[in-house]
Amino acid sequence: MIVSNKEILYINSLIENAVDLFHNFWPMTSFIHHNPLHGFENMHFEKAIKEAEVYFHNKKFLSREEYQDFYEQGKIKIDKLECEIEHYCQKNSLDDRYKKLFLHLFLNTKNLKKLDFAQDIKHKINSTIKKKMSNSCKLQETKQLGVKFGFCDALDSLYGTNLCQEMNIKLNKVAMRHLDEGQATWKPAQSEKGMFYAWKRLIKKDKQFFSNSLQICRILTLSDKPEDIIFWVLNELKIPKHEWESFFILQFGKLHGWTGFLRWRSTNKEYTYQKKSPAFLEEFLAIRLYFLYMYLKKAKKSIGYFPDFQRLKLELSKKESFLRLQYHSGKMLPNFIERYEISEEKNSILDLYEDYILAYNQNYIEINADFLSKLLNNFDQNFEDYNLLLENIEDYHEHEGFIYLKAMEENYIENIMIDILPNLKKNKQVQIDAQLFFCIDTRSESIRRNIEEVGNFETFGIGGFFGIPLKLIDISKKHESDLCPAIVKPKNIVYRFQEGDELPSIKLKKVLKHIYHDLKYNTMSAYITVETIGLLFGFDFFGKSIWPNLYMPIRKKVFNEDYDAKLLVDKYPKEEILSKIKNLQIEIIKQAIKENYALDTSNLEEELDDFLQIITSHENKINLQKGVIEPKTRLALKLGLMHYEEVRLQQLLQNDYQISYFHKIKHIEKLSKVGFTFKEQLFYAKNALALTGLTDYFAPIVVLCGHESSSENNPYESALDCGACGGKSSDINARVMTYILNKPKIREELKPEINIPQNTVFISAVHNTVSDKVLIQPRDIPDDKINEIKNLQEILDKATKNSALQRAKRLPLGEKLDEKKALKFMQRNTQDWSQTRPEWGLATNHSFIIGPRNISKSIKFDNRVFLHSYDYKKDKIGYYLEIILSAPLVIAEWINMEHFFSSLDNKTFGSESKIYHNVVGRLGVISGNMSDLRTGLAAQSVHLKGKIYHEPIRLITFVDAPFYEYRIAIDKIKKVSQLVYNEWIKMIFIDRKEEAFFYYHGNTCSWKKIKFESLGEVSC
Amino acid sequence: MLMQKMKKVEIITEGSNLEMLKRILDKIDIKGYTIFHNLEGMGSHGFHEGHLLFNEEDALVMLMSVVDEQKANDIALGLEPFLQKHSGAIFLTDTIRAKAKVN
Repeated sequence: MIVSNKEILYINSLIENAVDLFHNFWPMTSFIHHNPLHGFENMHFEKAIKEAEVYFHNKKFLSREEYQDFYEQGKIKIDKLECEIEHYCQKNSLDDRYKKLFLHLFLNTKNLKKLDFAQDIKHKINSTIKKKMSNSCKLQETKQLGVKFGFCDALDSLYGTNLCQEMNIKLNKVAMRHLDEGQATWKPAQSEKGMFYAWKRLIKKDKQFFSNSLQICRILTLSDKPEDIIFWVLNELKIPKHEWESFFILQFGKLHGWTGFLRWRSTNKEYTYQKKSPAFLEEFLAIRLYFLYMYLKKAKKSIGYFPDFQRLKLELSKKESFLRLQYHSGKMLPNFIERYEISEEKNSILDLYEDYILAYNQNYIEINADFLSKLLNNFDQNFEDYNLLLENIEDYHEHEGFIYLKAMEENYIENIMIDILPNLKKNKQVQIDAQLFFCIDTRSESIRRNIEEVGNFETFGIGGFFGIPLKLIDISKKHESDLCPAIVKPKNIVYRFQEGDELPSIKLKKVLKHIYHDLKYNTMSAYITVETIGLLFGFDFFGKSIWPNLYMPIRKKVFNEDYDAKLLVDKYPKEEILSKIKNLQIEIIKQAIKENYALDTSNLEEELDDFLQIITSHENKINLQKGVIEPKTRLALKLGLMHYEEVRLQQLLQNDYQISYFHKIKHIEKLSKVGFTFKEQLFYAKNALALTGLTDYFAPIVVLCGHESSSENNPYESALDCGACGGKSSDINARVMTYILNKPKIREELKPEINIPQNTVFISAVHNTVSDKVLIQPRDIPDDKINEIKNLQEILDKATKNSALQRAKRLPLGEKLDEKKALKFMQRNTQDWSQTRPEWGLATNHSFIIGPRNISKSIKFDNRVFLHSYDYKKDKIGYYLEIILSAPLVIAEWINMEHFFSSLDNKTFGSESKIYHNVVGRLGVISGNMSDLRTGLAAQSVHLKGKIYHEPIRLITFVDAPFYEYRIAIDKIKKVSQLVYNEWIKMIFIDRKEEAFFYYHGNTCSWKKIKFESLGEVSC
Repeated sequence: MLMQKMKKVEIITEGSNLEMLKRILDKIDIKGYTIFHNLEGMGSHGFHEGHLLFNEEDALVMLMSVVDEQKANDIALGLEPFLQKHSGAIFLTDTIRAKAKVN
């Protein structure tokens, strides 16, 4: 071993710091919207974008031209822009002329025609600029080697090699091979031992990259620790210790998609594929560093030296390196290209240096003089010092995108304030026919508004998981999923299974008679069966291996999707669970003895019981490990088994039938998580209702609407499902909460705080966000409510039609459709294989309103606003507000930022066109046949006809609560205060007591009070 | 009872780092620990609310383990870069482990 324990921790600490800058990436089956710059949220928004540019090479803001387009569309108002420019000028001590100049730059330079070259300006840009430029020619890259400029980048730029790409291809292949989730036909050998181990096996066979004479290869042979390779390479490349972290960032940043996915997998040890083929970040880094070292070793042959850190830094500081970098990065002045190529052949690049610097400076001056001449044309102010002017303009260029963004946001903020104001005086409706809960998702807005318009209904917004985090194990679909926000790990499991009809009378039925009998009549046995004999993940193995001819027909029968699926929500007493496990295991032992020894165990109940106790005891586990053979059990004596036969039977039961101490502990541990206790149910029920402020005036029917999206041939389908349910349908959560809220005992315990009348019934429904259909689930309807529900469904269908018509207008080809055709068009999108944009999803989202529905009711938000119901009067200490801010708001910010950056720079943070996507490993998409894992949204989700469709603006959050009493909720939660004070979101309180809005203003870093009556008055 | 001088290590960190922490401690053969969830407190990174019902990532947790002195030092020095960048702290305390004798 090379590395010590301390060094192992040290390296892993640095890795953790490095990957903090790269967001988690979840598998596509549960697409989670996230902020690509999540790791930068501890910085101010503007600074973070600038900082990120170093690692992602991203676009910081939209171009001035794009903001000018928004201005022409009326989305940026001149008064707001003036205010922002004024703030900028004040902050930078610039006089009024600059304010006018910057406004002029925005308003009058869009289609600037080429003007005569202003010679007088040119010669006024004096030698100061020249001097400044000469200094800038000294390589920035020298200082930044290892920090922002990697070894391969340096060599590629200096010598025109292609090392970065070659390395990335190698690493892409390693990742694609090892992380595959069932797409590839072949699984790499020994992948269960981890990515590093499996790769090590293969690389040893690659003569090009492995040689026993190299020390690194000897280390690789001797050690299974990735840290050994990492440590050795760091030392061999002579990278100073204080640069290690930056060096790691650079390495991970080269393939930030795979890094994000590995980051997620590293912390999800229970993920099925992580268990099957473990993979960790340090392994990925070690593999990358191994290849890096080998490529640098190869490069030595062509460049004549081994490019370690010190040597490369020295090379980069040489004058000719500047010319090399200019040439290989494609930035060289065109008239110098040929001269450079000739000089390089003659090995005399240095001779070109002085001439080039002169021309380089001249070029800079001409470009700027040209720009200034255009800018100052028709501008009535004079500037004496053009150098100073240029410096100020250059600084302004750095910030102008942010200024335009803020001006645009101000416009949205004011518009929402104006819309909300009249609603503040409206009172809550008391007599209503039905109340409907929808997810806070922006796509609920339109259907909610239309439902309210067609009937006497009240709607509520709540996180789509209905405040009940759970892990769903779906027996029929053989997979499990977390149905809750990604920032929560569910502690309770809910089973979903299909209830079978009568099963065929066959041999298998005898073995599993209790199981299937119970499956039909006793819900509890279903999960015991699953956990005990591995029905979920092992049933195929079990069935195909032991009873292949009988298994498939039964599987087909049992897993028939037409059967009504049942959910197991209640927790059963531990004793009952243990007793069921025991009975089932005894049945399995009987069958195993019969199958393997052809012996009958009837009338041996006591002996079997005794035998089971022994083989699942802790002592037996130790003895089996030690190879100690226990004396014969009573069962073995009765059956006349030889000693070796008994040992074999024990091993068989342990290995093939999962009956051992280890399995017993595992089953008990997992089964203890199944279902919710009564106390837990009560806790979640109370929270869900109190969060939304619905504690009295319940309607006779309360519908909890989960939501889901349907589309075909769409790897991004889960991105359109419920974000609060980890990219899954929230139908199950709605059903579970409905089940809980219909329990008389729960209602009794909720009193007196929450009074649910006896005649109120909770039912679940599913809102399909593509077609806007809200379908009440027939399974939950009590007989005496059938007619009412039938009427309700008809009204919901009417609302669907209206909503579909409004939404169709926003989709290409849907603009001119009438009501009937619009609905058909939307329904068609759920099944159209060729549709790249089945719905707009959460595109164009811009705000989040936390407050009672009456403040946002009737306002047409066009599915652009998250709506969370909340009533501060029922939350005296701000407890529920803290919950809303710490979870739904954080998730909404992720969604908002995902769209913001995917729209702003689709190449870097999005995944570009779907047309070129290929699904890789069933876990994500790549572009073409080889690329990094593409994260973020496709161009079709945020752009339309090559133009920005989703306007990138930060989430504007309104909270309806008195500012002075409830502001503390922000300060108490570090994450939320970070988002507010670093301006990742805009936060506004609607304070009815003070009759004012309180708005956190980044320009002054303070809360600004805007009285209701002075709304609309311009004040910077 | 067997009495043995040991070091108690208490690591406070954000919930989002817990899995990573457990994993890298496992790398140096630290397999026994106790975890305390939903800690509340104030530090240089601001106030941390304890009852974040639906957000475990941003709530503080504490991992406590008892190890020999050498490992305690390894942990403190090895995790130094991590704690320089993240909310949290490490405390080392002298302690005595009392272990029942096994016959």
